Amino acid sequence: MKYKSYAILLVILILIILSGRNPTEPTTTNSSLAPDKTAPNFTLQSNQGPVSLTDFQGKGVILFFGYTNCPDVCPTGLSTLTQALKQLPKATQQQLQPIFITLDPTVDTPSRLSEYLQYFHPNFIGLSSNQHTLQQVTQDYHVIYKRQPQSNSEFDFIQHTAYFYLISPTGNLSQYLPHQSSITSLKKALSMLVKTKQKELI
Amino acid sequence: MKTLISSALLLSSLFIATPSLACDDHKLEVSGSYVREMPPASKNTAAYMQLKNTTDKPLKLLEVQSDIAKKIELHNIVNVDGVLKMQPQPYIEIAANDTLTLKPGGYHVMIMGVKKQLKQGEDVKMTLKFEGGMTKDLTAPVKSIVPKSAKAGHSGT
Ligand SMILES: [Cu+2]
Repeated sequence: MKYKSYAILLVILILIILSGRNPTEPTTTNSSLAPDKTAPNFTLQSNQGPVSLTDFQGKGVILFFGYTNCPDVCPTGLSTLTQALKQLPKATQQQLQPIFITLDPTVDTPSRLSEYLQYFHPNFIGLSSNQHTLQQVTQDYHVIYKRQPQSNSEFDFIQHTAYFYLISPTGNLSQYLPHQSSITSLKKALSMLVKTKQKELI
Repeated sequence: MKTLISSALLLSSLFIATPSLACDDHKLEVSGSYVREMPPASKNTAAYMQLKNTTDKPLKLLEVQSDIAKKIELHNIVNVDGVLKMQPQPYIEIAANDTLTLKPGGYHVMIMGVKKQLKQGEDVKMTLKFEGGMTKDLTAPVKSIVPKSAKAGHSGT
């Protein structure tokens, strides 16, 4: 009898844990993030003043969330994105706007972000804000992140989901790609993204 | 006379024995090692390499030492429900007669609190320490992961 109740308790516990699990992909739970729906707007700070997503109507936007002290994931993703962009024709590049939003606002000021991103590509825009505002944006985009404390807090890391969110020139979330995507698949997706412009305007 | 010869032999054997204990080159081969160039404003980086174990026993990499940073750890990146998590590893095991690749998004040597921003063209000296006391010294070049057109790439000429 005792064991049986333990077993039931265990099953309940497992169910609770499973129900609280985060989705593998950012779209599955919230219909507002589904492809072809309007991408949630935001207004955040760049080193040249406030920037909103709606400022880039007419351009394809590539959104990426991360932090400058990220030792492996972010530099790898940003490097792939840079290479994909550089391999595209100039005209296509001009119709694309890569935006990096920080998950570590206490460290990543707009000027620090700008300095960091310049290293990768001159067109990158880096955005920061206060915790509260960023909380809202990350929620809207289903970014899951959590500080991963180290024995010495100077070396804290942030676990995070890493996707490129591709937003069409008319402001719809077109698709999202994992940061480990190849240069080739990213390149293909980006030129498709810009082509949707003509389609949507017809 | 006899003691002199034997002590000379003993002495020379000591000399021969010491280096082979410190650096068992034939047991482990390192190739393709590099340290990722650091973007401005960042203070962390990582080293990547291929480790080839030529013995028929597993080898455990326990530690990497270098004086370029405040702290160096062995890490792996694991994907937990889409969230990428860095996990410190107590050791990295290279299976018998096998090669393990430390690469972006996987096992890596985590270099934290780098004292001076590392630039492409520089070299980083480090020592790998294995279980059983074997060590391996290594000089890894600093490499940029961002292609700089016509600058220091191998497609230049
Ligand atoms: Cu790491």
